[in-house]
Amino acid sequence: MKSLSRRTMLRGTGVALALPFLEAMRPSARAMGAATNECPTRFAALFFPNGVREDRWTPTETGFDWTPPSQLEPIRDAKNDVSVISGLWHQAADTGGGHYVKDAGWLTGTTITKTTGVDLNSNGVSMDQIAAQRLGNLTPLPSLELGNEQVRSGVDGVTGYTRVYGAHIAWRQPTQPLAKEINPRLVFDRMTLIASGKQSGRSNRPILDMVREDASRLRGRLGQHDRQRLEQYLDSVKSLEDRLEAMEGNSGRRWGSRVDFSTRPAPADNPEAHAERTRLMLDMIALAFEADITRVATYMFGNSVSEVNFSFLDDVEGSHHELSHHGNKTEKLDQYERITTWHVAQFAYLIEKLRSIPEGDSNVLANSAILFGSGFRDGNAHNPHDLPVLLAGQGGGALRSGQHIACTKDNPMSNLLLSMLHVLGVNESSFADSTGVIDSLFV
Amino acid sequence: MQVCFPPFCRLRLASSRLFLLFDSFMHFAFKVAAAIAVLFSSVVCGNVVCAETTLSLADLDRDGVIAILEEKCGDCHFDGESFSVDTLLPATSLTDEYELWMNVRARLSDHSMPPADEVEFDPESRSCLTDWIRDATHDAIVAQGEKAGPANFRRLNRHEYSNTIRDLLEIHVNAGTALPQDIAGGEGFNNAAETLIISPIHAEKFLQAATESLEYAARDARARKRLFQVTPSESVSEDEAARQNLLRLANQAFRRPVDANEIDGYVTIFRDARDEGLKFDDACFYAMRGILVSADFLFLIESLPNADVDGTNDVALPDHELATRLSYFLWATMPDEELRNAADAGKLQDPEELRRQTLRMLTDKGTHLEDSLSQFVGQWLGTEDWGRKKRPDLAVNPWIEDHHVSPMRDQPVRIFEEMLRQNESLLELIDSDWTFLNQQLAEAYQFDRSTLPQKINRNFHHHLMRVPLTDEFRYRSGILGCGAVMGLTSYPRRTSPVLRGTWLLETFLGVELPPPPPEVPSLEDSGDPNREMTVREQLEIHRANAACASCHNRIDPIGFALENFDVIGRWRDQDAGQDIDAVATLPDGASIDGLPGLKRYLLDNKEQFVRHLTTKMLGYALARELRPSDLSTVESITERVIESDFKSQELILGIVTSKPFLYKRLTETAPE
Repeated sequence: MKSLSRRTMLRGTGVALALPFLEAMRPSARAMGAATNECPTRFAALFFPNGVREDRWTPTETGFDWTPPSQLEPIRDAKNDVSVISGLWHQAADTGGGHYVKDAGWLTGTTITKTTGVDLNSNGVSMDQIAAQRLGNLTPLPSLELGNEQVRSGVDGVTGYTRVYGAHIAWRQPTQPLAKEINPRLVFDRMTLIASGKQSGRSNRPILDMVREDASRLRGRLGQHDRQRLEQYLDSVKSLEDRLEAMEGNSGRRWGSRVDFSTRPAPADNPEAHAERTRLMLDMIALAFEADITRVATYMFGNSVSEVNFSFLDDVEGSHHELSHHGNKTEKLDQYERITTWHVAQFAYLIEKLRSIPEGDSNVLANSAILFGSGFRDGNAHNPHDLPVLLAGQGGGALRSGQHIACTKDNPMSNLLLSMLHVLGVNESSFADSTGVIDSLFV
Repeated sequence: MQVCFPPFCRLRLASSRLFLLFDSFMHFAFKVAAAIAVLFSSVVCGNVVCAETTLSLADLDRDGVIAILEEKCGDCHFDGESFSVDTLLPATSLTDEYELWMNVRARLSDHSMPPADEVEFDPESRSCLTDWIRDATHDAIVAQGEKAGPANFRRLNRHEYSNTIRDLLEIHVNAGTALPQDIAGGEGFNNAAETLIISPIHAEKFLQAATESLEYAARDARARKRLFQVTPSESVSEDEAARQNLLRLANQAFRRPVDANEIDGYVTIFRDARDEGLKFDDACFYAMRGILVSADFLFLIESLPNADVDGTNDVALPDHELATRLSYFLWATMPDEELRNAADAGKLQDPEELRRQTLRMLTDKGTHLEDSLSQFVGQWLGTEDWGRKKRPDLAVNPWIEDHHVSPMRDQPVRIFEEMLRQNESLLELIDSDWTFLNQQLAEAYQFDRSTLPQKINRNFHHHLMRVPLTDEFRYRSGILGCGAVMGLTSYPRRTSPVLRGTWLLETFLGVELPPPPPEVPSLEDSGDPNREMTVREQLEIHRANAACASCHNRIDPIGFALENFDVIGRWRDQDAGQDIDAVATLPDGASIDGLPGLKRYLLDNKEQFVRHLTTKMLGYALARELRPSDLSTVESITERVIESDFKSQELILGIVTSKPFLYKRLTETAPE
């Protein structure tokens, strides 16, 4: 069966939503590694904590002719590749004080359950994971979860939340957040191993197979709740086994890295400096996309309530969270703005990096959709109205980049997340509290 | 000085479906009764409420308290609101609605309720009410007796994994270093079953760690010899030799006796590998990898037997499960040979043997106790983050290096460890005449080494040593004398009385502080924008706002008392040219004069402190969030400690002999 290309599908749509799910839209090769001449579409969501200086984020003009406000200055040169989307919110996050509700629910559009652990539940699967579940069989890793910052010890006693919420935006299941890697060197080593195609020595598959078989004995000795935990482990064993099977090529399913990792320098191991670590992690996202190790990535510049000391920036003295509580004092607002601007500059760096990787007759950026944003707008008020969101890339030709799209006030952020799914060819009819895709995003 | 504390531990009722059903039934059944009871009690107790007299604890009973709450709170908190006084009406509410009672008490005792524009309670009546709630709920819960918690099932966290691999294979390598970071849940520790999440990446990381650890063991003659105690010979077939080696490893790795047939799979793996040309040793190593990624190794497992042995729902943990709990609690690793032998011999059910093993594990010469205390102390106090997640700012202290920061992080752990080993009083954590220092810490703290006895001074190098403190340096003693605490409760470039006050009340003393009310103007909003003010001035203006005052009146004075410590915990008499003013007044009018005053305040509240520490340590020991039913246990351990003149080993012994530690509950909690 011939597949409809996603571009065909999405061109001139908005109707995409109304269409029934088409069998033909399923990726043509169920096996890993679609035809090598096809350029895959990728998605990344980059989260930064603590919001933005709200009066210097949104351009005054809408459409294609807009001037970046001061905080968006770093994307001036990449303006044609970036859209600003304003007016979106997460209604479900408009509850509870503080950060966790907003941040953990950023990609789920749901209200998380307040708990220090027992009731851990995001009450939704995150958008990236819906994509990963649908596209994951095409690449060795269904998705890649990356971060920058260690999590603080203890639970947040004042707000009554476990910091698991503040450290995860990717939720595979409502009760299963995905652990993230924060050391760029480990990410690189992991990808190198995957790209090498074969583990050294004897295959681990028989071992993994037995571990799963053996666990059946255990199942009977556990309560139902614990059994779910065991299943999560066995699932993780199974997914590794599947990947090895595909990589070892015994089933005729082959995946080949598009990058020769031996020609790439390994990043520093666990670098201390925040700026260095950030750059290296963004490099890892670019590398993963270039090599086609995954097509879905999430990245957290910092965890909720991040207290990274940004005194390394000129004219900043203090930590991110500390300065985000600016109290409308100019001196603090200016420092807060410098921190946000720094984050936007990192985003610009990734944009430039992806654009510099040629692919087919274009480049990786053109085949990607990169979302960049925070869980609330103003760091003082913590409210999830008018979320700061930027979107880079042309999504494989589906997206009209370079606009400021001003949505009417309090449009669901979930509409943007649903739109992202559609860009990836995952044509769900709805996502969380979505009311439809954002038409003007699309070509 | 009389201080009223909100609840000391945050216990939550499990909201199982069953409970909800029960709740709505109760609600229905008592609705009518409720209305009557309110009328009745307001009449009966009306004189208590309305008379302009102060309540006395002796006059109060449940009906009286509810009548007061109806009168004072019922106008806003009626049926249909998020909290309705009616909910407290049923006689069983003291236990069933424990959490709600605790919230009522918390709001009353922190003065956040009734709101400032409503009729005020006189202070005596307020503390009378909160005391009554504390005592009544406490008595009702304690009357239910100690109860076991659920059987535990959790994966090893990263730290435990590293320790366990180290002790299992006897290799000195940090095997878990590439595993994702574990995040705390429950009582604030990252061994809590509920937050030990499992992601697809875990199998991959565990496999890699197992492979690398075994490769390391293969290169180490001693470790290799231990793994291969049987070699094939004329009398022992290869399969048999492999079987015995694998059985021996599994037997240790699974922390329980392993049946021969459980090894069949691993022997098959060995045989297949051997048939395909791997050498005997390599084929064994290959099968051993399987043992190290099996769920039996990676998870601590307390099984749910089908039979309800006693006819009750609580059964004693079998020896091996108990040995595992004990070992991961006190050592954060697998049982050693001696503990394992005791379990094999079925001796741990004997209280004397359990006590003997516990004391042995506390006083053992090795570093095992520190392996666990680094987790407990570091995560309880938050000092684990110092120098890692939170580093001192080099612009403020350019001289500071890792060799200063790392002993700062270890200092509270070593103090706690020493206290336990010597069975000293828990109150030494508040104030004492000793601490742990090394050369670098002495330098960092500007500590005058000439005050040390010569014998110590001579040996004073890299190792942290117990040192006596003269009166002049007594401020360095206990937990508050630790630079890591002061560093982690500061912003990078300035101290914060609010962060410190919150830390001391919440973390150290277990006072529950409500979150800041929404839309509260931040600190600086309250000030005069045209004038630079000191932090103290700003906070004083902030506290003029009633919404802020109810908490900040309690938080800030405590923080001010610690202002003599700078951003890394050095002592200072001045800040930016101004003399430090460390005197502050608590809401009840009592004055705290600097660090000595704060220590007195803590010692005045030593029972609260011990109760909180007990709560934290019980949560760590059980590796789960505590439930209301654990309250009884917390109380009895606290009493035991107090009666023993605060001897620290009694805390540990109290925990390991408590019902929730020794037993597991067979009925399964519904998934939540």
